[in-house]
Amino acid sequence: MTVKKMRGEIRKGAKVTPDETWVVKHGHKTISQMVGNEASRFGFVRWLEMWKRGGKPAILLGPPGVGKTSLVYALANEMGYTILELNASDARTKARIDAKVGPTRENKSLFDERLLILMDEVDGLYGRQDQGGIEAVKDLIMSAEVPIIMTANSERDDRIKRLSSKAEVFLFRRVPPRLVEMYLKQILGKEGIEIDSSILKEVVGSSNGDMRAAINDLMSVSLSKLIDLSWSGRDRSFDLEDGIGGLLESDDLEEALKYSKSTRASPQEKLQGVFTSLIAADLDVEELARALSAVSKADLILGRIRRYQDWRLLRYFDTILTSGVLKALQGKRRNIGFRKGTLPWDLRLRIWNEGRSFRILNAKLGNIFSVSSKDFGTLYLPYMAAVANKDKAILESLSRVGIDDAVGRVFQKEMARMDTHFKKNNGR
Amino acid sequence: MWVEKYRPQTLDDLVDQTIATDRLRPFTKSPASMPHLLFAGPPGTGKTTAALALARSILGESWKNYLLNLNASDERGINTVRQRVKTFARYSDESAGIPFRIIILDEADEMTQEAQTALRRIMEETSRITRFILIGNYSSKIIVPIQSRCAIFHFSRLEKADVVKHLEGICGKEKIKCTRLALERIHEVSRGDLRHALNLLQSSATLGSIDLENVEKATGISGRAKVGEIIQFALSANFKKAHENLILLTSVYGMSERDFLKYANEEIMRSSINNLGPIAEILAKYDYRLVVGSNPEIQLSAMLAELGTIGGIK
Repeated sequence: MTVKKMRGEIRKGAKVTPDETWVVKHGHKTISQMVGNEASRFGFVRWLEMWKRGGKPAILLGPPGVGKTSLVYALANEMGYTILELNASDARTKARIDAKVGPTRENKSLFDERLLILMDEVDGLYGRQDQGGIEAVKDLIMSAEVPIIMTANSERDDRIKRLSSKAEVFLFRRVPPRLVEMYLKQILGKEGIEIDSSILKEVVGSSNGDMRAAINDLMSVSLSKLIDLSWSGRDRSFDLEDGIGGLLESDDLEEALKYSKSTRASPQEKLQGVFTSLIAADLDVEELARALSAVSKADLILGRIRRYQDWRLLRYFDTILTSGVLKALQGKRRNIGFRKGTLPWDLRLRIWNEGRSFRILNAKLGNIFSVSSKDFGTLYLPYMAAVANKDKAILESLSRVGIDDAVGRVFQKEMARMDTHFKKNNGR
Repeated sequence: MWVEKYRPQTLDDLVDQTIATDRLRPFTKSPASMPHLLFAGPPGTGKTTAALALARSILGESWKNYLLNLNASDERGINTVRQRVKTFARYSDESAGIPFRIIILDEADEMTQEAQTALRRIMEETSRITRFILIGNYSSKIIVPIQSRCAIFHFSRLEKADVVKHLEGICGKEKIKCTRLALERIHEVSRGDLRHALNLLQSSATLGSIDLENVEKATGISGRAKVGEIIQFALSANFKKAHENLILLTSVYGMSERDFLKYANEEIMRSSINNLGPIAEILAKYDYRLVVGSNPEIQLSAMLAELGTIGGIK
């Protein structure tokens, strides 16, 4: 991203070799010291206090660095719980989750200690990569012997939505700049450091409400004794819309790659996002063909990963996608924004209204005619609809083979289409 | 539909496949000698019809009770097939005078190698009281262990003269006027696929008599013809229209992406496009990518866009 040149002054430097990071040193030790998200924080405290065996789990939902995990640790500390932490990254598959949690679940608290399970970043449990991962989490939820607490970043993620319906959800928002600044000032006070307020503002601003990031940046800025300071702002992560939009508008590969890699979405979602955006954009066919060819190549990587479960290949995905698309659009930068749906409304409506009906027609009638449903749709259905315009018995026979009225009406629409088709060509 | 109305009920009535039917007939006399069967050949040449006719003559009056008709591409996964076969093959029917139960598995050649290996096991497990009739376009796509357990029957593409004669006969029974040219055109469009030919004949008949003009109109409505239109849109660089019609075919009418390519290839082969080489190259490239890749819509869309770059069409 952008490298910000900043001029400012650190009036009084910090000690050169800190023995611990400020995040650890100045991180919240108690709940009352924490900043922001009061309502959710106290709601969660109440939830754990009231928790009984078999109760619902909790999900702390919010962007990184707003204190979700800190809150769990602080509260566990105050209430005397031992935390068994399951990281999405170390307990990916169902087998591994079971291996880790299974014993504790069955033996319960062996030494009568109070145990709680913390599953950090459950949205890291992704699709096929974590076969059964989310299922294992659901199983855990069903048989809760100890409190289970999950943290997740994205509330829009479908899988998280499904989990959320079975859990108590506490929403966390980004910490407002005012509170971030206040907290950073406290730290500076304790450390005995003064820094220029413009630098402090910059640190607060680029943290984007991520408290952990803010403290880290503050530490690095304070420890560098440079007066003329080249300070690279923090890399942010993007939701699908901003990430894909940024990727498509970048004019150099490095920048585009950063967007691609910092987009919080699965590779499939990213690919789909680029794909629909390209189709919706007003490109000439040469550009479009080149760009879609790159998308197609990136899809090959995903296909190989899926087939061989070879996740190593994923490292090439972003590069192939972004470099190919960028090259295809080279020198012709224009506003290609993120676009999700590109299909015209009438087509979408038909998919929505008729897709299912045709599936039923093809399967039921295909069975009767001894052909597969896909062959029926291609080689029988249109003819049958055409013939039905003359032979009324066909329509009547539909209900006899168990096709309901709604599906029958879709068939009648198709009959009407065939009728118009024939009439139109008559006039020619 | 005439396809059903005029489906031959016995092996003797089958159009044009005397080599196969001569070898099949003995099984109707002594069913005990019948092994598993594999019928291979192009679509619409009578494979399913022959299997049904055979089942009817071996199993007698209540044949439907002892016959399981599955379509490999419709059954979700080999486990579903296994489950249905197992339930079906649980009972022996010797007391009812039935030599064995018959399982027809259509489009068996579209099953993956893994599924076929599993199928082979199922065939063995149930072989005491069932016989399989596997049906597919290409016997070479059936794994060798299964081939070796089956008697293989090849069904050939129907001859023009036989198709025309058959269609003429039906026109006579339905009391519809037809011209010979029109019937020949139907054969040309349906490429020896009798059921397609019959559908085309019946659709043309709804427009009056069977003449060239009406056949031409009816030809346009099949899913295959729509694939041809889409390729034309793509070649004339009208990506948007090509893409939307592709989605219509796959998402509304349920055409599979692999079939789309299959029909696309057939359509360009019989069209009068002159740039066939480059087009076929692009089709082949995306045929491969469709198999390897993960998102068929992306692959086919990329293909349609690329077809628009060849230029020089029309």
